[in-house]
Amino acid sequence: MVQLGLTDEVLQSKTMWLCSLCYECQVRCPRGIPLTETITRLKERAIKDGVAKWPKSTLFYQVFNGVVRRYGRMREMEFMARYLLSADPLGAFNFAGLGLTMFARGKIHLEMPKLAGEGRLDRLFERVEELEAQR
Amino acid sequence: MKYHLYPGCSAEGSALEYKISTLKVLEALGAEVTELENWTCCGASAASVQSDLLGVTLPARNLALAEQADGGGSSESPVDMIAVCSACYTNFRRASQAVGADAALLRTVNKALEVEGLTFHNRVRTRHLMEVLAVDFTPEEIAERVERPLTGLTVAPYYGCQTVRPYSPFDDNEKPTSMIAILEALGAKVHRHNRGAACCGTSLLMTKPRVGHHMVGEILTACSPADCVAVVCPMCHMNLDGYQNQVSQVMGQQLRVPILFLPQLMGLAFGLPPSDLLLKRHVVSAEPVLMRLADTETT
Repeated sequence: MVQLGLTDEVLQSKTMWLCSLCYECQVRCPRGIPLTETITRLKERAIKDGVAKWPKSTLFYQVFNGVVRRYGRMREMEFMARYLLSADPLGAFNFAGLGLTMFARGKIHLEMPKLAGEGRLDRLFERVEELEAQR
Repeated sequence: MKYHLYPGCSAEGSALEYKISTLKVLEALGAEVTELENWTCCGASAASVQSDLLGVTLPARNLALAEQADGGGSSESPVDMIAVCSACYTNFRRASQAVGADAALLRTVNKALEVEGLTFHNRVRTRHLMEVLAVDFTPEEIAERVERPLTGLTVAPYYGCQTVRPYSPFDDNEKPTSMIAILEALGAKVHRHNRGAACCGTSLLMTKPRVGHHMVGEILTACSPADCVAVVCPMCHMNLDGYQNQVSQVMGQQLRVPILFLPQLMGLAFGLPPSDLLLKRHVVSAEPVLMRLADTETT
């Protein structure tokens, strides 16, 4: 469809946001088309073009990358809190029970967010942005 | 055998029991494992969505660290690095394949890695823990180490999608079997089902819960005749273990199956102390599994 010039229809569609990267289509494709990779590139394009139709999905990636950039690693508790509060504050209640159980089992713990100062991977992310712009 | 271990964010956080039990079990099998220092996130499913180059650079940073820990990039022999998470595994393999096929990409990645003082030579062989356990050790070697066989316990193997797709050099893409011989060597009975390589739903549990609950539900339903499920990925574990109440509602039947990491089950069979296996961290209690094993010991 992108090749046919139907880019808008593709970028507005829900299909790619339902992809869980399980690679089943890619390993089954008899013509060897890298379908899963194509879906990832479409997600990238939709976010870069500011397609705002599926905010819960696009925010997931943006919040995730923000946490990784700041700390170098995922901080699960901070990510879940940031994501749920920005994407779906009411729906966050559905996750409160799981969060409390995980907290009680010691699976997640509180860490103070570090909001000031340089992020662990700021320089690498910036360098990648510069290099990507030159490609 | 010598390995570098990349634990990844989940196995250092919510799935710490996976990393600890992996280290203990590999040690019991006589492997020499060094944890990578100073590692950062592999990028998960998110980095490559933000930028194609970022999706290769973040894993490459860690692969370069593994080369460095192995004495630099000059040697010709590959560096074996274990990933315990299937998403990390996929990202590392994907990055290695991408720079292997495109020398210009490798140069660009190395320009990016300059800011971290690292150079990547692409000589790391990333291996999933599942592969190491199934290929580098024979079932006989594993059976030899067993002190408390899992007799009477029925286990459903669950591999997850990215463990075997698209890069697996060790098992079938859609009908994996590599866990069966290991579980049998431990003395367990294997529950055979057809959802072993189905996807757990990954982030859909957060972004599209109704879809995600259904995906988990199909897997749990297929596994539910077993006493427990054995998994080899922290994301799969989180999804199968964390949402069983909601999933039961969606599926219209009560589903309550303990989800254990394969090395936890191996550790139990090896007679390792419970403190090495951290069995009390799961949302669905592993207690019924321990009780079943205690039952068979007394009878």
